[in-house]
Amino acid sequence: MRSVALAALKASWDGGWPFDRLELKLREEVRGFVGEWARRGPLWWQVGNQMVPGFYRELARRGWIGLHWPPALGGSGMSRVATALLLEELNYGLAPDGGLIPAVAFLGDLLLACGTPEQQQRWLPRLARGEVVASLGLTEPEAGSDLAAVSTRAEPREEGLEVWGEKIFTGLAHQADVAIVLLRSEVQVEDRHQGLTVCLVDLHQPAVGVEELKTWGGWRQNRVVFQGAKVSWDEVVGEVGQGWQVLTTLINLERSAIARIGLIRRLLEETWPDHREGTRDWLRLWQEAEALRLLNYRMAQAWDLGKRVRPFQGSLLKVRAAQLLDEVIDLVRDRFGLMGFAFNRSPEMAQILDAVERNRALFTIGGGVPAVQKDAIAKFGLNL
Amino acid sequence: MQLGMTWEAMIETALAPPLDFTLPEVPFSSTWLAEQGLGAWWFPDFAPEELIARLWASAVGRLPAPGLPGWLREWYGWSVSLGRALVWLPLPGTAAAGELARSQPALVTVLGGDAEGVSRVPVAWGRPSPKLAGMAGPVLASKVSRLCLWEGETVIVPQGLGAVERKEGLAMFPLDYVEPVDFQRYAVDGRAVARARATGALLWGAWLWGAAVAGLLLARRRLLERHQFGRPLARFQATRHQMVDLAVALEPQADLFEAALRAYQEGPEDFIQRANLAAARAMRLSHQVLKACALFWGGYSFLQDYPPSRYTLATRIFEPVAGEAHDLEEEAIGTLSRSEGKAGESQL
Repeated sequence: MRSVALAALKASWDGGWPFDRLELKLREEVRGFVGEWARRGPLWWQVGNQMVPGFYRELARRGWIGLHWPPALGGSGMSRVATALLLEELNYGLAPDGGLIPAVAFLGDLLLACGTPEQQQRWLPRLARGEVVASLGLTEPEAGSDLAAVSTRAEPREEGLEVWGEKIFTGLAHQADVAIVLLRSEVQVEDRHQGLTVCLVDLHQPAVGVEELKTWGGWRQNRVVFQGAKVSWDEVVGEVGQGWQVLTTLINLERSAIARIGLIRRLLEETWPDHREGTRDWLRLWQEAEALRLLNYRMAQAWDLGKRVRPFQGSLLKVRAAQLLDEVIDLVRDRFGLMGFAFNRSPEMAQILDAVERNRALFTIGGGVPAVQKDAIAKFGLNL
Repeated sequence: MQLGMTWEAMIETALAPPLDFTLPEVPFSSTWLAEQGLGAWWFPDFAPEELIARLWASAVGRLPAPGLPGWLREWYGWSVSLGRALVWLPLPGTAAAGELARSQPALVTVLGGDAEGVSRVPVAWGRPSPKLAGMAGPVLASKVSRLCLWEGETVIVPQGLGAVERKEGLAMFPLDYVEPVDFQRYAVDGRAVARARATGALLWGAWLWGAAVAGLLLARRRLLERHQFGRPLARFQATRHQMVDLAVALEPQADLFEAALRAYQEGPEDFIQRANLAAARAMRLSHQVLKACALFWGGYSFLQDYPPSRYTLATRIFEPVAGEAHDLEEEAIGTLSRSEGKAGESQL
C-alpha cells in the first residue's frame, strides 16, 4: 500500500453492502489465503484461466467450491453474495482461480437450476471436493455469438447420444474431465432454437481430441473435436431438443459470474495517481467500479432470494463490466505508456499489466460479444 | 430500484406506495439536524429514503405534493446548498412556510403551474416576471432565464433573486424584504456542514437520476413512434445500443445511493464521500442521457418545448443548486488529499 489516502478509500469502500458476519469472515479468510498464495505462486496472470491443481485443491479443502450450494450436495450453504465476494477477492489477489467459475457457475449452478436430482447427486459433491474439473463447449468455428447456429451433431443411439463435430475456445478442455456441450440433435426444425440439446460429455474418451490454441497473451485455449463421443442418456441436461432453454439459464449464470470486479479494483489501485492531476478521472472510474460491485452483489442477492433473474440482466452486468475493464486498461496504458509495461515500478507488475493488456479482447468477448448483449438488453430489457 | 424490472415498471413502483426502497434505518433526526445548526428548519421524523423515493417519483413526472404524507407535505422542501449551508424550504402556503417567513426570510420560493400541468414561467435573475403573480406552487429560478414547470414543482431562487407571490393566503415577500442569510450562523463545524451538504447533494442527485430515467423513457417512446427510412428509429442498431449504454449506466445508480445511506451509520467521512460521489455521478449521467435524448428528437430538440426539455432545463438548474458535479468531486479529492497529509484543496 503506497498511499494513506488509497488505504482510507479502500477501507471505506469495503462497506456499502450489508454483508452478514459469515460473509465478512469469509472475506478475511480469502484475503489471508490469497496473500499467502501470492508468495508461492503461480499467479493468475501467468497461467490465465488454466487450473492450477495445488490451488484448486486448496479451494476444495476450504469448502470454497460450491460455497452457496446446499450442504446435502457438498456445498457450504452460504449465500451467492459470498461466492461473489470469493471471486472478487481471488481476482483482486491475482489468484489462479482457473476452474472455479466453470465448476461453480457453469456446471454446478446449471445442474442446480436444470438438472435432475440424480445428476445433482452425481456431480455436485464431486465438484465441491475438487475431484472433477469442468469446461464449457458452446462456441464453434461457425457459431460464435449466434449459438443457435451450432452444427455439432448429437446422433441418438440405443444407449445415449453420439457426438460429432468441433468446438473452439474451450478454455479448460485440456484439463477438464467433463464439458458442458451444446449440440444440434435435430436438423429439420422450423425454428433454429428448437432441436438443440445440452449434455455433459466425458472428455477422457478416445473419441475426443483436444488441440491447443495460444492466446495473444500466452494463455491456453483449445479446439475440441468429437468423433463419435458417447454420452449416456443420464447426462443430458433438461430434455433432448429443449437445449435452448437450458442454454439461456447457463449463459445467464455465466454472465453473472464473470464481472472481474476484483481485477478492475486491483488495476485501479495500481494506477492510483501520485499527483493531484489525474485524480478526478481516476475517482470517476473508481466510482464506476463501486457501482459495478454493488450491482454484482444485487444480482447475486436476487439469485439468493429466488427472484427471477432474466437473461438480459446477466447481459447488463457483463456489458458494464467489459466496458469498465476496457476503460481501466486504457487508463493503465495512458498512465504508464507502452514502455511502462516494461519499466513499471516492479518487474512483476510490468508483466501483470502486460498480460492484462494483451488479453483485453478475451475479457471483452468472453461470455458474449458486447454488441449481441446490447441487442438482448434492448429487446428484452427496454422492449425496443 | 429492484432488479428485474423494466424501466416502466420501475417508475410504476416508484410512484405507487409501498415504496420499493427498503433501506436500513438511518438516524437522521431533529437532534442530528440541531447539531448541524439546522434544527429550526427541520421536521421531526425525516426519512431520507422516503424522500429520495418521492423525489424520484416527482422527477419522473408525478406531481410531488399530493402523494406525500401529511407531515412531509407540510414540510416538503428542497435542500439547497448555497455557500456553506444547507437550507430547507417548506412548501409555500403551509404553516412551516409561515414560520420560515417569520424567522428567516432568507431564500425565496416562487411558484408556477397552471391547470394543464405545464407552464413556462419566464424568470430572470432578480426580476421575476409579472406572469408569476397568480401562480401557485413552488418554483425556482437560477441562472437559466426560462423554465418549463410542472404544476407543483419546486424551484428555489437563490437569495435576493426572486420572490414568493401571494395567492390565497400565501405569504408574499417582495424582493425588498429579502435579507441575506448569515451563513456563518450555521457553519458551526466544517465536517457537520459538509455532511449536511452531502445530504443535500444526495437528495438532488436522486432527483437528477430520476430526471435522467424519465428522459430515457421519453426517448424510448420516441424511438418507437418516430419512423425514418421506413422503419421506427428503434430498429436501428446504433440507436438501440446507445439507449442500452445509457440504461446500463443508469441501472446501478440506486445502489450507490443506498450504499451512501447505509454509510451514514459507519461514520461521517464515508457518508460524505459516498454521497458526494454518487450525486456527482448522477449529475454527469443526467447530462449524458439528456444530451442523447436531444439527438433522438432531431431538429425538434432545437425548440423550447420538446418533451425532454423539461428535464434538461431542470438539470441545469438543480445541479448548481446541489453543488456541481465538478465541485462535489473536488470536495472528495480534497478529503483524500487531506488524509494524505497534503494541502487539501477542498471547498471547505
